[in-house]
Amino acid sequence: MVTKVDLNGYDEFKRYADALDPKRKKVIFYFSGTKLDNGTSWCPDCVEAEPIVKTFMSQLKKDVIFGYVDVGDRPTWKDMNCPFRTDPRLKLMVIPTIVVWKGVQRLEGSQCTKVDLLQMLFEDDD
Amino acid sequence: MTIFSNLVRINILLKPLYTERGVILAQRTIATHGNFDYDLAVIGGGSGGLACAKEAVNLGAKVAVLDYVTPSPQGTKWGLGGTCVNVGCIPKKLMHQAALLGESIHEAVAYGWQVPSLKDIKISWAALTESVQNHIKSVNWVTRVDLRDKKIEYINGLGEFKDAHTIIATMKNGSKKELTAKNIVIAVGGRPQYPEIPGAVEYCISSDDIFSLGHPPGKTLIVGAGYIGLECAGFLNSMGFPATVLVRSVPLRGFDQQMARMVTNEMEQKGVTFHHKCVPLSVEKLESGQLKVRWLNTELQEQSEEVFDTVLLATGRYALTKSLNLEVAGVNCVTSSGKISASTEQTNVPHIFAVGDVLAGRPELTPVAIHAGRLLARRVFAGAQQHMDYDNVATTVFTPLEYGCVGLSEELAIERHGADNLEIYHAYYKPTEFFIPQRNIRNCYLKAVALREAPQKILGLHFVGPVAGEVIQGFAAAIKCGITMEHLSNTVGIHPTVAEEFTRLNITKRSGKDPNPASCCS
Repeated sequence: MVTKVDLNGYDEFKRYADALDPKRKKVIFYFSGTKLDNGTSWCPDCVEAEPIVKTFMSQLKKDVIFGYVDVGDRPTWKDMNCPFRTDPRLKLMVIPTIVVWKGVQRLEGSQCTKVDLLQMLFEDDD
Repeated sequence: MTIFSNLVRINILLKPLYTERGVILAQRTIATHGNFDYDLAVIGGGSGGLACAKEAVNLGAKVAVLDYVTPSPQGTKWGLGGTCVNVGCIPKKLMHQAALLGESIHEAVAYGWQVPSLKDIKISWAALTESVQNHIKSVNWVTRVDLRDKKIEYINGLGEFKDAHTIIATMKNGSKKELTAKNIVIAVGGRPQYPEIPGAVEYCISSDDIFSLGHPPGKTLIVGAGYIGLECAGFLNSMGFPATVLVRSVPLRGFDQQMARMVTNEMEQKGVTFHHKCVPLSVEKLESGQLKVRWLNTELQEQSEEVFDTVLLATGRYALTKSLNLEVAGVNCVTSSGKISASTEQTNVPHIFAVGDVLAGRPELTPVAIHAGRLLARRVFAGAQQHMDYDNVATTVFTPLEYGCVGLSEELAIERHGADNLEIYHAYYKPTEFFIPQRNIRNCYLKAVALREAPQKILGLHFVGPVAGEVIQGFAAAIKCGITMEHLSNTVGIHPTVAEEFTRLNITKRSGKDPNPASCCS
């Protein structure tokens, strides 16, 4: 079963990630721009990717944790010192980005809208 | 970001149109590959095979790539991408960089950096290999994403021919998968060769293993003085692992020998030990876990032995054609060494081709394989005519002091044109940044091999020094354009660089004048 966790901002993300034991369970983090009052994100690429990623994750029959991470509003993300950009474990350059925690698998931008590629996050490495 | 999101929006608007075109494309594709599963099957997912596959799908072909890595005798295996990415150029360059950085820490002191206790500076082999391997794994991943995104089918299986159009892939779990293709490209590359001596397979490692070695290599014997052996010896020595090289004939055979001596002189001055004219006899494991190696000096007929922590074999590479079952496909242009002889990448079977290290008599270099693979796809799927030009391919040996070259060595130029018809320009030089840390400048040397007759067309350029690859790449383009010594001496340099030394060449070997730079200034 996919366990969904919502994390708001870097501090919440960091606290959660530091406490994780990735050996126990596969963890996927999805980083997206905060939603505006009208319910859609300020980041148009995130708006496009979100329904595809969410549908994909809801249909996934795997025992994984899916962490949905809100990186913040536009000024927070556009700041080049944004901790999501500087954390050496993340080094995010683009939102949306989806990563396998402690793995090399990562999809950026429009790659997140491709179900073919999302499936690869759950295949054996080789 | 904005342009990108606009593109996405346009993309959404165009979606219905795209779908229609997709249908038409699909029909056309079915028509071209006819009764076959694929228009193109590529055996081997290295630089050449992948470049060919990607170009082919861009031209509308339906493509499959087979890739499988048989573990090394020591059990090392790796992912998609071939030698260059996994056990070649990429990890080599990263370890070379690690070695240069270590040297830079010592130089930094001369430039005023305050480095606490210089003698305690040492490398963590575990941290280095972890960083290098993580980089490789992320490249493997990006490559797989790229293939999936381009709708190239990636089959992680060992390919062999069943007949001229059918390939059997043996998967990791032993199951077999059959596929047919109208065209087939053999791009299986090569693997390190093991000399037939006791202990080689059991105890020695090769370049397949060194970049992921689970423990620091310690005192290392490198057997072989080709570019792989010298590069490994160079970075290990600079990282503080004592390195000894056994040279069978000459170092860097096939390269300009004067330049090769500069490279090995520098390595010796940095602490690498060379045993010339020596061949290994046996490797024996001691109770301590160390390896006792015996070798024979073939000139003096004397045997020697010494104990090492690690023995790295770099005695050549063989092409992986044996397991392909080429006979059943009718491919018979295989040389005695197992390479494929195909002058235009086409074998004797017209729809079966080969690119990369598997080709006989071609430089074993990643960019060569990529270029040949791409041009081949254009000829097969777009009716293009252009063939690969294997002449004047530049390359660089990433030894501590690098050696970059393009075109003919002095020896080969003499053989082809005769010494009387050549003019060799040469110079020693002093890189500006070498002065302050008082780095060794004795091996900073370059030369141009040119025809004697005006305007003195340049046949070869050779450079030993820092960042040789960066220096020589642009000059390779100039050689392609037919550069002469006249052009070169009319080129204004960029000061202060090491590449500008080419524009200052004016002393010929024939003149007998001193090629050392004036001592007053740089």
